[in-house]
Amino acid sequence: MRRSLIILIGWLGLGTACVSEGPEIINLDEASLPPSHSIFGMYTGVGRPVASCDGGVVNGEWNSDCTNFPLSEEGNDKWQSYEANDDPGLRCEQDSLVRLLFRAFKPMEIIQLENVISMHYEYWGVVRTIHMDGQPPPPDTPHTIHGYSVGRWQGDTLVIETTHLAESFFRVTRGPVSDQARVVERYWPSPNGRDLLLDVMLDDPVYYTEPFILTRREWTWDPSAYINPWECVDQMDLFFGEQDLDAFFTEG
Amino acid sequence: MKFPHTFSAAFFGALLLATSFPIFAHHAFPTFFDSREIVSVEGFLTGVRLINPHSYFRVQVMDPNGQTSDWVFESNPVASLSKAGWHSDSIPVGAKVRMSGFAARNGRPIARWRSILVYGQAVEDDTQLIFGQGQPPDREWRSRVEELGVQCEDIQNGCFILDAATLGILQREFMDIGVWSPPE
Repeated sequence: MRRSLIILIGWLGLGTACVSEGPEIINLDEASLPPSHSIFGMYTGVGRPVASCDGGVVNGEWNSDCTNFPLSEEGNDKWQSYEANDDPGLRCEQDSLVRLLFRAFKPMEIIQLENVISMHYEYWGVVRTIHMDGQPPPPDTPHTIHGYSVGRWQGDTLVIETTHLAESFFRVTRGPVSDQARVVERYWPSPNGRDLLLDVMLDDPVYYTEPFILTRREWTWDPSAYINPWECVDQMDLFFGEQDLDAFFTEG
Repeated sequence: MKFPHTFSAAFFGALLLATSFPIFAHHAFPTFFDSREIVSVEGFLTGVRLINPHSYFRVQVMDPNGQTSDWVFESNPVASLSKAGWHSDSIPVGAKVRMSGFAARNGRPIARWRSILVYGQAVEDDTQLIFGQGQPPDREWRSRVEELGVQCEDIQNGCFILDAATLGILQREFMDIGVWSPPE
C-alpha cells in the first residue's frame, strides 16, 4: 500500500516537475485534456522520445545519459552480464514488451474491438491484446515476453497495466526486466488533439530499487501510414558465426 | 565464400578512416557498432538483401596488392526501406560504390551504413549519394549535399543526385570524411 502510494505521488509529481535539460514535462491533469478524443488509429513518426534522450525519468529528472536507472545490486549484476550475442533480435525473436515500448519504432495502430483493444506494431509484427473487461489475469496465466495486459480508461487516458512478463531486457542487450515486473502505460492525446503521448512506468522489485518512468514518447497520428508484414531472417551468423555470404545474398 | 574472420592489420588499417565527427550519444546499435570508428571502402556492389530486422549490402573491395575482400554494410529493415521507395535493384549489383559506415566492434568486416555513393558508369556521369537512415541530420557536409544535390526520384528519403561539378565541390570542401574519394 505504501509502495503504491509512493508510486502514485511520484507519478503525479512528474506532471508539474520540470528540468532544464529536457523539454517541459507535460501536465497530466486530466482536466486539461481535450474531451472525447479518441486515441484509436494509426500512428507513425518515430515514437520519438519527449526528452533529450530516451532514458526515462528517475527521481523526477530526465535520465539524460540513459544510464542512471535505479538498479538494485542484482539488477546491476544482470546489467553487466549481457553479451552482444544475447540480442534476441538476431535470432528473430520478437522484442519483449518493455523493449518494444522503450524502442517504440513506427508505425503502430490502436484498434478498438469488443472488450479488448488491439495494438499492432510493424516492428517484429507484434500484436498485443489489452483486456478491457475489468477482470484480473486468470490464475493460470503464463509468463510471456508480452505478458497479460489489462486496460482501463481514466477520462481520455488509456491506462494499461501488464504483469506476467517473462524475464527480458529493454535495451539492445541491457536493462534487465524480471518476471515480477509490472509495467504501466498511459496513452493520452497530445495537446494538439491529434497526436499521442505515452508514459511507460516500470515497477520491478527484483532489478530496481524503485518504480520509475522508463520513457516518455510522442507518436504522430498518420491515417495514411500502413503496417508492412514482418518476415525476419536470422542474422546471428552474420555477426558471430560462419556466415556463408554467397548463400546469404542469393537467398530470398 | 565464407565470411573472413581475420584480415591483415595493414589492410584493415588502410581501410579505416577514423574521424572525430560528433554523433548522437545514443546510437541505435552501440552494442555492435562503434560510433567513433568510421570505415570507408570502395569497390563493387556484389549483393543486396532487403530483409528484416536489417537489410544488407555486400561490397567486394580490392586492396593495392590485388587481393579482394568482402565487406557487409547493415541497413534498415525492409519494412521501412520499401516505404521510402527502396527495392532490391535500387542500386544495381555490379555498380561501383563507396560505402561509409560505423565499424563493428568485434573486428569483422561489417559496418552500420552511414552513406552510399553510387558512381556513374562514366567519369562525367552523375553520382548518387544516399544517406544511411537514422544518422545525425545536422552534419555540415550533409546540409551541403542537400543544398547542392538534386533529390532522387525513386528513393524518397536522403537520396541525392550529384553532377560531376557538384561532387568536385563536395570533395574539395569535405576532403577527409570518407564519404567520397579525396580529389585527385
